[in-house]
Amino acid sequence: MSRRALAALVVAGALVLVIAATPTAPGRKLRRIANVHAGRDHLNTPDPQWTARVDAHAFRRAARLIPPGARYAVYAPTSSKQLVQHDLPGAGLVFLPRAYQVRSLVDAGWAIAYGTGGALPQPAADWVEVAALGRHALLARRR
Amino acid sequence: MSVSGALAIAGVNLLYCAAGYGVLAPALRGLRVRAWASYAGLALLLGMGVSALVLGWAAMAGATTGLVSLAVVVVVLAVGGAAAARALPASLRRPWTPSAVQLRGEPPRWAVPVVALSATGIALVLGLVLVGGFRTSPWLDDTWFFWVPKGLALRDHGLDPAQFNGDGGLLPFTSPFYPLGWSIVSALGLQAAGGIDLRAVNGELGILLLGFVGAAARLLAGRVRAEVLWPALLLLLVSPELLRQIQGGGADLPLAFALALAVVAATAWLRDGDRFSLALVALLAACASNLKFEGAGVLVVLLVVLGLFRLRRAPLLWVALAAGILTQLPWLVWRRVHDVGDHRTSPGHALDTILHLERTELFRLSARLVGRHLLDPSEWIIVLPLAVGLALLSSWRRRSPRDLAVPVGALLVYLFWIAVYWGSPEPNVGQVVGTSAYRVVDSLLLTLGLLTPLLAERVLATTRLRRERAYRAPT
Repeated sequence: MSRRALAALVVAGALVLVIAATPTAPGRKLRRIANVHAGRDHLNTPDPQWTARVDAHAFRRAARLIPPGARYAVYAPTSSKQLVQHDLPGAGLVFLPRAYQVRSLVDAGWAIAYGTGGALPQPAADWVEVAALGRHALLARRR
Repeated sequence: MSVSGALAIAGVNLLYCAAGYGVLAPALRGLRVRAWASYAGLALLLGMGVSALVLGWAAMAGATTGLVSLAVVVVVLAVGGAAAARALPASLRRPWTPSAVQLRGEPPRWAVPVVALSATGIALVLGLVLVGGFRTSPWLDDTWFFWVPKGLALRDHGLDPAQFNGDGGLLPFTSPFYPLGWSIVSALGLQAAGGIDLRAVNGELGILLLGFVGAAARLLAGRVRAEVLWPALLLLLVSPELLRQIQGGGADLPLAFALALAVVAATAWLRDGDRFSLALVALLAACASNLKFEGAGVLVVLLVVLGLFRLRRAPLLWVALAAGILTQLPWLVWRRVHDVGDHRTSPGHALDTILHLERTELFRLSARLVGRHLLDPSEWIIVLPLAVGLALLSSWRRRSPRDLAVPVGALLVYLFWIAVYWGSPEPNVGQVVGTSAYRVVDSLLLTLGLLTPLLAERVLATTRLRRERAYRAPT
């Protein structure tokens, strides 16, 4: 193979990669090849690929409000086992690494009440609302 | 992910490279710049693995494992390696240069386009993997459920036993018994990216795949003719399951990279007595053991295979593999002291189950699923049949049982996984088989993928047409 042919191969390969990286129509098609799940836009996210739908924004906001070293619990009175046992605790662990997640509200100084429709954790008298964390959650602190 | 985030992750990998070159420096001293550059992939993987190992030890001693700690470790490894390279007597250095290994004769005319096309294909696939990686959040929930959170906790709090054993009411991590390596590496990527952006994990995996291909090419070049090596690497690289899992975010592929390269290095030691390769085996075994505890299990299977075939030079290889596994001793001690148990594997329970032939349905399930993932051409194309077929052919042509170590080793790893699942004390082990069997086969398949060109070379060397380009061991 001649040097010219080799150079052409290298240039063609580099061109494909540049096209794949640029925001053009051919680039979008190439990126679909690059993405094994066919380039679905929802995969191009900084958030986890949840197994049950979770509002990541709520946890990101909570991470800004709960102080480092604090102990918090995720309170979610729902029948969805996957959400309660997997995705919500996982969201807390990944978005709030500076705080400590506890298993029970009894040990918590802070609580993320998720999917409660704005209700505080029970007993409500022990808690005071600190901030709404979007439509699905609120942050509460023990009185 | 933003370009600056991707560049920051690339910067972390340059640090790994610096650490890896530090580790390799005693062996590479005296080589020209181009030869040094050819070790970049190996330096990246070794640097990642050894840095994570040292950071894990530092965490057990009370340190945190963020970017500052990484920088300190890299400086120590790089400066220490350079000093060791200077201090080493010249007589010890000379045999460590694997560039002495080469093929005799000129390549045929058709070899050049084959090599060029294969190398271009590899570059394209790797480029697309990188683009796709930085644009995709990992699909494996283990990644964000415990691998990354554990690393972030190590960065922010250090190794706090309560987060692993649940003392004081804390929610313990899932699979707290896993070694710390992949958690540390994935969290470093996130820290470099500037926040919780999980695409950093897939970006890191893409870069490590790049390093793996580079390292494999470096270790095999000179031992395998280029017209065999590059198509074989391309064949492995386009395996649909490899490209799928590279966007999963789990530790199985990094573990497979380290194990596969360790086996390739082991073959170089067994054949040529190359001490550089022996040192690599120990280092890569240490990296593998620190990435996932299964790594140590597969390494033990390798020890058994070496024993079965009574291969010359095997005793020192045992020592190297054992040294790599023993680097996990501090972690085992820490776990025992802080009561961080392993609910998944229990040797006593495993023996009890197997001896009493209970749960035969679990045996059938794991045998069927692991076997299917090993052989399904829609997952790993023909990696396993090709390697086993070449091993049998080489063994037959050479009238030597040595190459049978490949199919026997594959069979033993297969049986190892069946035994692990069959003897697991976990109550929902059937579900675990279904959700992990496709990943646990990675190490075996990548190893066979790298052994394929070596075996093809051995077969070609026995044919009359190819004998003139036979592999020549260093003298």
